[in-house]
Amino acid sequence: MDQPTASQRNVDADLLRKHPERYPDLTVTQQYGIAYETVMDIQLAVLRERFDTLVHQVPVLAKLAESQSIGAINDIPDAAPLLFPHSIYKSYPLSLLEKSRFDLLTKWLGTLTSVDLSAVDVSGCVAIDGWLDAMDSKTELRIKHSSGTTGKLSFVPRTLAETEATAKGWRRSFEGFGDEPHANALAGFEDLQVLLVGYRKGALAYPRMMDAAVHWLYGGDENKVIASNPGRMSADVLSLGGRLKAAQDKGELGQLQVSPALLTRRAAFVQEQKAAPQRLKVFFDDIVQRYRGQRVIIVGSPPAVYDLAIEARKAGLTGLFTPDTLASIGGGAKGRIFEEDYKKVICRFIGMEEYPLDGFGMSEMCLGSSRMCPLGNIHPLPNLIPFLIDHKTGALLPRKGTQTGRYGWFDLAIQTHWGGLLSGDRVTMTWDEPCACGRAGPIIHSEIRRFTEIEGNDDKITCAGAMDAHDKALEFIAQQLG
Amino acid sequence: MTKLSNSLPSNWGSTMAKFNVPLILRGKVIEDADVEFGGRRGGSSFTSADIRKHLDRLPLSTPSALRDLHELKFSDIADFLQEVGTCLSFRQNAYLQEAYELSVTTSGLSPQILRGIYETLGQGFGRSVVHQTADKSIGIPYLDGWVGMKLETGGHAWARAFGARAVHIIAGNVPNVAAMSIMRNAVIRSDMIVKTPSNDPLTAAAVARTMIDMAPDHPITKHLSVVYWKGGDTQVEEALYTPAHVDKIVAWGGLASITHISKYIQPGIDLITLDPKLSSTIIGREAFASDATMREVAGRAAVDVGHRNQEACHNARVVYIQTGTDKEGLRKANRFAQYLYDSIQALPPHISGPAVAPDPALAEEVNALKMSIGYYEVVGGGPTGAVIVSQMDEPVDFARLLGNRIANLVPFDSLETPIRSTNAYTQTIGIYPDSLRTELRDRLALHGAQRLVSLGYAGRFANIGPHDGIEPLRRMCKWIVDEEYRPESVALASMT
Repeated sequence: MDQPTASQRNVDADLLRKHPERYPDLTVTQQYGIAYETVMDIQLAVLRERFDTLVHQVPVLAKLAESQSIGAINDIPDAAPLLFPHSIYKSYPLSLLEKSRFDLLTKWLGTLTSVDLSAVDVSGCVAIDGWLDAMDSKTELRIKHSSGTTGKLSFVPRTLAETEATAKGWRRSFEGFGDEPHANALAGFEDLQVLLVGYRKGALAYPRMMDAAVHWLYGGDENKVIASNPGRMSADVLSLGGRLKAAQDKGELGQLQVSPALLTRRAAFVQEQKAAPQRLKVFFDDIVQRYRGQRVIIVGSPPAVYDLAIEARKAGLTGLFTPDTLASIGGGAKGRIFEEDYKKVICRFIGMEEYPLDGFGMSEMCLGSSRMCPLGNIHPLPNLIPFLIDHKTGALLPRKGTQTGRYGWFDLAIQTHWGGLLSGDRVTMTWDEPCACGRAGPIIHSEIRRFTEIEGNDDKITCAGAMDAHDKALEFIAQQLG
Repeated sequence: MTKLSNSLPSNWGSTMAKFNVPLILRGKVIEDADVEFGGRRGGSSFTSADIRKHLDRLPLSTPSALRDLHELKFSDIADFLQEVGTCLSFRQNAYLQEAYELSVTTSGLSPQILRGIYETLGQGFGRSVVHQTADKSIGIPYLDGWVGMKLETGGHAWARAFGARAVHIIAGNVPNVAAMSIMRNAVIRSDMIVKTPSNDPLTAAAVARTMIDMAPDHPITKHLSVVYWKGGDTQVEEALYTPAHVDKIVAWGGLASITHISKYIQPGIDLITLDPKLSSTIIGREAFASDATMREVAGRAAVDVGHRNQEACHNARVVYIQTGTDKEGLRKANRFAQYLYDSIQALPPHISGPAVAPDPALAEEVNALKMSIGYYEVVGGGPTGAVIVSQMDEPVDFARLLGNRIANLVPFDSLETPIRSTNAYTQTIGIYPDSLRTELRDRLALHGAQRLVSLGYAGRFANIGPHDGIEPLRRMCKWIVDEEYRPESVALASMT
């Protein structure tokens, strides 16, 4: 379906009603070209089907539906009271991790997914990383974790099958709509080398995305991705990093204890940290030697890519790749103050004329990454049902006119856990005035803020800050007497 | 010692009345509105004179200028404060009424609770309170003059507690902090500069203006300045925080506030910190002997949790209950949660009410636990409060966020559990029964607890000196020794 014909609006709505995860088989132009009435029809059909199935398989959904006295979904607004708060994915007691009770953690996760985890044996696990590995090898889950507020990681029970849509959606995110620039960005996509500035392994959004790409787009060919750090972004270290930052913010650093399990891995962490500058240099030399002047895909967070760009400039190198190189640099600049305009620095490094338009997505989404349109608006993908909730009352705001509230969504591509989530973002949406860019459907205005940021007590380590938190935690472990 | 309120922009879009916060410099009121400051909770903001224009007059001109205060007798000070207390009658005092009106828009407390506090604010200046504070914290003779003693090693010595040049960076979660700070400072005869907080910018000014109207030339009036500047304003703070101008800084508040003040600390400046604190409760197994006792004890615990909407440091947040953690124990714990929730809901509106400034981060945590399965039971939820029952002997991971009348019951088997959870951040522990209090007090003190009290009385304070593990009034004084030796009775070193 890559080459839209004159009948590009002629999509198979019945197929999408059964398999909404196949939206990314359509071009961006096709996806946003579907009449929004049809999009909503598909949304309602899938929503009802998901609820009817999962209410019997996901205990937490059953409990919530019962407490809200919801037995069926007849209309999209009916699902608003069923949006999970995002903290549901970290509603386990932190002490389960500290005491290595991964059996109980697995049991807890089992209340959030339709995948049967009752027979999974994780008794040998002593650390989060080990538990994640065990779940990868013993179940169909590919758990994705957050970077964590105050050191407590969220665990989202995604399945391997679900990550197919994630991989394909990532691919689509490079593509423009209609005759906008990048309309043909995907020509030759499969042949492009991926240069990942960051950790290749781990269960945070980026490494998991790369796992999905290698599995579903590159036929398992790991050579398609070269990472600046082939090692692992450790969930244990990241969790410690979060607790470290929280303790520092409260002036309680002296109270922080590093678990013995983590300390036994200290030598490896110290080695990892020592090798970091050398590794980055090797990566840099490698990509210059092998890919200079070529069209590639650059993936990474703004701080990581920025640091690489500065390295390149020190070496006197600019315009390293072709101007049509694809860049997937997400996560915003939050948490890091750049000395210079990072977008300009990165563009000069790659040789791009313009920095890619910002995207808006959340790691809890299965199929969620989309970019702003050239007019600066965000258009939710058709597989996402947007909700706006009154911040104070919790009531659903009318799905018409222009409204500001807390953003919630239901992702049709999620099949094995409840796809409805309430975010912490304050968003303004216009429901019934289509954007002049030509995309159908409601629009999200570009000014998005976290409610906690507005209150001024946001201690969340953002995606962009994750590497920094990880590295600080490594330093801290290295300082502990082992 | 305070838990700073987690305010939120619940007033988006509303237009609030503008308040001007006067600058008060030792008896002189400056009502210019040079600068506008955003208050807490979004919508409200206020104007004030720009202190930077008056920086030269902010510090005390010379330490000798404290002499007038030291010529007063304690009884003069007590008389003066008693009269201030009388003049702080809420009905008649327009300054206090204005402070109340501004507080309604900035505080995490409801109008009813605030009104109750302002109506009784003057009591904190009453003769018996002032006398007990001075006598038990320091000893009135040491305030009034030199107290002499014969030295066992020969010679005589005299000691006296002098006032100092002090800056008080106060908390604003309850208006009492402003009033209490002014009272304490008058007792020890210090020159006082109050740096007011944005969530209570007017109470200290109201007390100062009351003094100015009452006795403009009284030394206590002439040694009280009330200023607002945005904390961290280096131009103001660099000029003020030097040993040439200030001897003592009394700072309430969290790490951010202490961190930026600490860069000014050097020999000659004494920093006294009153850190944010949290409080808890320990309820022994006797409480669960019968249904009637459970209800009665729940009623007492409800006061410690709900008093002043759980905005203060002394409010109970985590409540340890010795029900045991077996099935029967958890059943009792869950039943007790319902009694506690009901009792909190039944508190009268001038004591406690639904959250004025609900914390969305906390609400979200509670919602998630309410939906989750296995480790927590939740009674209630929403703006009226909640009781979360851990189904194991550990508090929730977000225990530090607890507020808005949300308590966490933690069942336990052994008293070691609550003892080990106590640390340097624990201020008050309400305990039932009293026999358990005396049994546990040494252990709890060693672990960091700073105040133990009969269950239900966490909001009452003894005012006998110790506060958060130190004696701030003694620290606020300069303790001076005068010694006399005579060669005929104590040999000079050079002669031995």
